[in-house]
Amino acid sequence: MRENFKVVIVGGGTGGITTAARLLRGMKALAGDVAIIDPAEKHYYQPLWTLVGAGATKKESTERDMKDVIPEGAVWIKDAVKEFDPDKNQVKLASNKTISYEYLVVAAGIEINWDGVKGLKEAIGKGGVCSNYAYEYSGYTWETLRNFEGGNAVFTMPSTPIKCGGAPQKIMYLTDDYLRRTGIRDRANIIFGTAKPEIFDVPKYRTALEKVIDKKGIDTRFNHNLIEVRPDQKEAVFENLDTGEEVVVEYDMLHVTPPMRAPGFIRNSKLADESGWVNVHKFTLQHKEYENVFGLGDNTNLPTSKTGAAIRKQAPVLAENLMAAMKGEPMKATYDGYTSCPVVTGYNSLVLAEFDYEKEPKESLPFNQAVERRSTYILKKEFLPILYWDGMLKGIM
Amino acid sequence: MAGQNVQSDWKESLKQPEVQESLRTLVERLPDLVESLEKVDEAVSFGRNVMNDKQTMEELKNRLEYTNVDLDTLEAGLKLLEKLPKLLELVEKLETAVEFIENVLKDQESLEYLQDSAKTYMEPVQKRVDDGVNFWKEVQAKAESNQQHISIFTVLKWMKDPNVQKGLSYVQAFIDTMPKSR
Repeated sequence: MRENFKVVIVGGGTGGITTAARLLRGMKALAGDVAIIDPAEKHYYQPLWTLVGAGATKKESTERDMKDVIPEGAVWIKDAVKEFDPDKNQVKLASNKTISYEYLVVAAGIEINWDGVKGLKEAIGKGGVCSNYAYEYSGYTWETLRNFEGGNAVFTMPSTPIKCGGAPQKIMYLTDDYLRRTGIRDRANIIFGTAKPEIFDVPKYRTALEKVIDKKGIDTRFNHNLIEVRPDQKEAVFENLDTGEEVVVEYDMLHVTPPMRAPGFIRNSKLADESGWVNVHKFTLQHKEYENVFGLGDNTNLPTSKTGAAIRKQAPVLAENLMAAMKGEPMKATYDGYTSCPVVTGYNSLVLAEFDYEKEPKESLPFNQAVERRSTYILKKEFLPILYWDGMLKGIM
Repeated sequence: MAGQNVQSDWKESLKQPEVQESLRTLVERLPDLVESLEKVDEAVSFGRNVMNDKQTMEELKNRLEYTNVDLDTLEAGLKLLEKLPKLLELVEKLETAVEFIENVLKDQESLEYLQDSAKTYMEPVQKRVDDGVNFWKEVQAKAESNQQHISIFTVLKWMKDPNVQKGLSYVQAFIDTMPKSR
């Protein structure tokens, strides 16, 4: 196996594959000189997991073989990164091999910390405790919803940064819709326990979602952080972040959004900032200390919402700046913090939030996207997956 | 007097180190400069020969006459050149769109996904169409098998049917409203 490459990309997720495809399109000479390090056999389109959990999409349609998404010209190193040594321009692999690079792109995603909530790891996937944040459990969400006959349906959101910040509430709105369609909504209490002080960061969409919550009669508990799951008693324990008190809520269905953090090999490396995320410049995506290192996606400290849509705008900026650096030219491309959150509010409705670093709406469509619409729901469900597989991962959109 | 001044200025200039340096460089580069001048001279001579060669010029003239290149073409060419940056942008967008469509068409999984989606949206429409077709088939079958003589009394009996009454009330409303609209 080759041990040195012009460009090494850590992570074969959305950020890694898209960047590799863009680099190889932009600079044909890089063919065979771009390595992607990832141990996973499968690549997932995660934004659809919400709909999988609600029974609106088949789980299998979100999964493809990694070998099929690795761009032509890229070398896939099927291994995990153990350690970075940016002073020597090297990464150490789990197999104890060392790979050298001239340029490094860190796109390793985010780590789900199932241990971050006491009892969660043991409870998840059975007894009504589900989560759309893992491929293996998203199917169980649908099973739980189908078999729900009434009682408390509890949904949580942690205090840590998470990927797709809208997902914890999307499944809640879909649950409400499903229970209405099946005629048992009046037998259920839907409770949203969130560590955040409000439903959404951007005022325009917050106002729209507050109306949705009112309309659906959802019981919101802000500044409530899930700290324990007691599966035997069917109890979810929250910490009230304002008072420090413990609040116990009984559940019949519990959808958990687990706490998340930067992957361990990043947290403990010289590439990380004090919070553990890859420390990159918010406009150029270049590392703040190591000039030949770039980062994008969920593992970075970019002050924006961690979504696939954000990566769609980050990847062209990173690729362009990296190619400029290779040619010894000034970096001209800048990322404005664009991110998007298509908040599904029912089986046929969606609020399409798009905004930047300043939390200012940056809407792409010629109408008010804060209004619940069927058209945007169809866009999310039917067209965005195609755009992802055949446009974004190919480096053209 | 003035001539003497100019001469002394020249001599003074020649004493300056940067002028001397320039002269030295010029002398050093003289062979290259002569070579370049010779090439220019060759090119000019070639141009002159072509212009003097009546046969070649005549052929060129004929060729131009039989093409559609005229002043308008040249003007259009210039305008196109002006628009090239915008055209390039559009071509790039088109290229992206074409590549995307090609990718989708090659991607069996995406095509199946789209097909399934289309089926979901088409099913209710298809059902409505099928219902309509079945309805007319039933009507046709009944009409063809009906041996009953239709008399004025049968028509009067129809009048009692609520659906006929509803239809007629629309006719009545239409008649009542029509003069007002005019």
